[in-house]
Amino acid sequence: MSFKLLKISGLMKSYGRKQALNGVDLAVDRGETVVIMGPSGCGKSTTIRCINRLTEPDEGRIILGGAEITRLKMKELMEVRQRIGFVFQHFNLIRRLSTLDNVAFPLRIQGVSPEEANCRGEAALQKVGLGHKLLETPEELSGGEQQRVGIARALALEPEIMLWDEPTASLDPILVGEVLEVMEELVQEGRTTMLIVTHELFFARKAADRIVFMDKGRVVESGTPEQVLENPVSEIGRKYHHLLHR
Amino acid sequence: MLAILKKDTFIKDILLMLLLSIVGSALFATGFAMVTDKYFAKAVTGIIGDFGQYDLLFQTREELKGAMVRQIQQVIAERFPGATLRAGMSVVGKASFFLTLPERYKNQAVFNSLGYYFNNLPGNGNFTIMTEPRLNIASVPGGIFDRLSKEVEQIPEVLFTYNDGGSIGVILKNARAVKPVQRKIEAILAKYQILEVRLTQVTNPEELMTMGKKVSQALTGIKGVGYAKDITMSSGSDDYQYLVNTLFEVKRFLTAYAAEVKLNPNQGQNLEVGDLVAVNGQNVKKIRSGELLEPLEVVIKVTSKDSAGIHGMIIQGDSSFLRDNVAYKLLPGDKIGGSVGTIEVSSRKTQLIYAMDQGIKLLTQLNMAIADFNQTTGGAGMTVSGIEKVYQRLADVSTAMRAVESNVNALGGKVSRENLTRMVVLINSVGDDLNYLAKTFGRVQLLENRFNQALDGLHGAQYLFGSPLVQNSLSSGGIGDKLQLLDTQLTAVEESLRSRVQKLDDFINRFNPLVSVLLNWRNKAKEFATQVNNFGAVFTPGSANYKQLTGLLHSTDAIITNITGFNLPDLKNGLDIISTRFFGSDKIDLTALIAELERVKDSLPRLMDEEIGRSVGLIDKYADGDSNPGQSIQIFTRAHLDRELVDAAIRDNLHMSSASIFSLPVGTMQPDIRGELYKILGEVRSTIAALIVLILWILTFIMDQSLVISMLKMMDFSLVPKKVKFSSPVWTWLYSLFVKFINPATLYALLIGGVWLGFTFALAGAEIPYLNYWIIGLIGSLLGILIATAAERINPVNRDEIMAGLSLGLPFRTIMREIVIPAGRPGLLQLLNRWKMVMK
Repeated sequence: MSFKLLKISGLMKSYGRKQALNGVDLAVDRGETVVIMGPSGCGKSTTIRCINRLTEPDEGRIILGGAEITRLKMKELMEVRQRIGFVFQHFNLIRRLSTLDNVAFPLRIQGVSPEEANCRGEAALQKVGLGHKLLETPEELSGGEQQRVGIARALALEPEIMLWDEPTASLDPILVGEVLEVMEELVQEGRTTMLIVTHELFFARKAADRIVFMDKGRVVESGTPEQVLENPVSEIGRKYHHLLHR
Repeated sequence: MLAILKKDTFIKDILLMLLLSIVGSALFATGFAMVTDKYFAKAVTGIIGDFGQYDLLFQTREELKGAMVRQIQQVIAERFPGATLRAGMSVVGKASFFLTLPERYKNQAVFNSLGYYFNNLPGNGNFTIMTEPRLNIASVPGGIFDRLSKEVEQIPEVLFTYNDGGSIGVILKNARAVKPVQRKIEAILAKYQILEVRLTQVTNPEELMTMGKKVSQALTGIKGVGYAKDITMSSGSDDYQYLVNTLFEVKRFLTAYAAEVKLNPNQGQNLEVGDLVAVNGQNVKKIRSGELLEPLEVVIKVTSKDSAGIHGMIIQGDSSFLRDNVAYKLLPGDKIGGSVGTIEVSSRKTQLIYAMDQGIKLLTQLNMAIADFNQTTGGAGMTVSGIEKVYQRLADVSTAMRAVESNVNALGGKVSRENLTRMVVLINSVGDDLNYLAKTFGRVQLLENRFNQALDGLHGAQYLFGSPLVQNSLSSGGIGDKLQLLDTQLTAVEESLRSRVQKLDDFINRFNPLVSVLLNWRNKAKEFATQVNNFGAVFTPGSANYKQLTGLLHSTDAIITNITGFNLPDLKNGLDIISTRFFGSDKIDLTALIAELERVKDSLPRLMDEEIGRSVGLIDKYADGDSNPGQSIQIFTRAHLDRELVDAAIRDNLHMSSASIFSLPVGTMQPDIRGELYKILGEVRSTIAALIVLILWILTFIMDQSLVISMLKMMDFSLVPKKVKFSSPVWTWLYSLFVKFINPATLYALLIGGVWLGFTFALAGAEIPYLNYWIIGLIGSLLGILIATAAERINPVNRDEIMAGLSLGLPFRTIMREIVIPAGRPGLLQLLNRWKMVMK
């Protein structure tokens, strides 16, 4: 029996009159790579941002490693957040800091010595192929490189789970490849549980242990890539199937 | 709170920044304002000199300063040797000069006469007294000026006081005395008050004066009041008071002189004070309703309306123009309206001139009559000596007749021719004297007749002098007094004339029979003499001649006896009084009296009624408008009176139950020019400090606070549940508005804005007129809210970076210190934050 690292049940969220999440139920095993797919506005990003409460859910429960995140106080939440790596669509780097400082910064705040933080940061950057651009500022990097710094920043914290919020959505097709390459490498390492929101169908089929289709704020289909892409049962699944075999 | 201060929180950062920015800003604003203050103070000293350096400041137009300086130097040379004149700054085309007077000229007499020497400087130049140390008591009514000055001069530290326009200037012995003397003067001022009685109805200035006197007299009688003086018409200087009084006298005279018009409105017609009516004047064409007013028509303005009727004054034309008495309403635009009634005009001017003319004419006639009498009769002396002469001649005739008679008796009818001739000659000569006497008597009768006529005329003239004009003018001095004197003198003339006429009557009544007898005797004697002379008469006893002689002798003796019965000295005295010394005993010089009457007549104003009306209007306008604009009475009295008692007494006396009564100060203390300038500088300093604080507030909020507010807004914290469902959508909407307002960002902006501005204002000593620090704090709060609405645009925060920080589990203070503040605008917050940053 596999251990469920993350368990989401009955998650609800609305923005004004718009119901973004309408009872999302989802569970992720430790070490599992789960890709969430679905049309724009179906609630993918909201779901993933609710997990570390960057977006506050209205209702529902989120349990991460035994901690019910939805009930945590701010201080406890901050501690939990330090165990969650989050990769943003827009990289969200701190512009005034260099590449290395962006990665070492959270470590320093956690009390890691500057030397160790720099060392770990440099290692993380080496891992994403940016060991040679430690002192550049984000403005000096390409989009793909910036996203890789973002990935390195998340990795440096050695998180229990990494949440990816459409990491390639802001990149042009040429740069998408270099990011996906890093992501595939990380998946293949298999050391971290990953929950990835993306529209990259080929990446999902190739890297995901499980694909979850969402539509209208709910999970409509879940299964291995083969199951959901070859024999979809949901409308969304069928659309992706047609897309794959077009 | 202590826990917050002990912990490493961002609130502590904010509090530190708040404290430092408030203190720093206050210090900066104070310093800047002080520097400005010093600069201006130095400039002021440069402009008006050091304390006590100058005594007078002269100012005139730049182009005429040379002429002014020459004039001042001339005055200095003549009146103030040793005084020095120094040029000051020229500002906006005005040149300034300072005069320093030697100590010997610093006294009340000189200061009160400065205006005499320097009031007529070229270029509308003027001067201001700058002598220091000095205090000024401003807004002192003219009526209490002297009293207050004398009381202030009793203060030992006061050197002297002087009249400075509407103020009392107080020169002190030394600068240290300024405050104590000011306190003492304030104590003096506090002893008195001016009770201002606001009248409910419009009152003319004369009535105001009368009412003021009445009220002050009534108040003086109240126990505890002790002193009350009417200063209603003393709002200016005493000179002004005299001018107003003179104007009122002129008005009184003119009003008495003007034609008095009484208006009798038709049934149903109403006339009010101020209405105008037109009456046919010198125009050939008669007035018609609907037409426009012609220049030669007479216009009357209604001036009073009371139980005595409606009265008016001619404001166009003259009473002599009037051709009928029908009055037409004069409408706006000089349009003639309908007939409103009739008028009755009594022209005192015409009456007076007539009386004057009559008086002059009659007195002249009287004078001429006496002259005629004296000229034709030779006066009383000649009249009496004529009688004496007749008496003597008659005695001679009697003697001659006796001689003839004795001859007759002795010679038996033969008379001496010599005696007879002598008798005839004597009888003939007596006839001439008797003729003269008869003629004189006729003159006396004529004189009596003319006296009687004059008496009647004078009586008529006196009636006119006793008219309301004289009565009204009795107290008005000038012509009024002259008219009164003339009236008295004419009365004396009339009485004197009446008594002399009586004497003449007596004389005539007594002398008339004698004259008849004498004339009768003369006729008989002449006949007898002719007869005796022509026929060589025989006078035998019993003859006709003898009988005639005897009869004539008896009648002559009877006449002599009759004349002897006259008291000739008394008769002479009576006639003497009538002629040569007619008015001498009454000390009235008739010629001088006529001349006086002519002078008075010449001195009467040659004004038409309309000119009088306009003059009276002008006087009313000036005296009423300038001296007493608010229709009020002012009474100077002690302070701290039983106001209820005093107010009741005033209202009772004025018969005005609703008159408002206010207590006003008798004067207010004013600092000297330097003090005033320093006070202004103080205000400038605090205003500059206020401006600096406001600028610093804006800078602080733009650079620092807006970033915090922007962050708070982005975080979208809420102090209350964001969503509460109510049954009514209105309540839900109202709650959402409440939630929108009650958010940390708005409350922070409100609190910090108010606290910052209020405290910094207070610490910097900054002031904005009429606004206290609470209001300043409120303004700061409102400005804070205003800044909050635009905080994201003023000082934006990077949402992505903050999201990154949050996702990394960074606490709020770290996000602020490491992400938000370093990316914000440079300011105190950023400066302080450098010590707290990990990733420098």
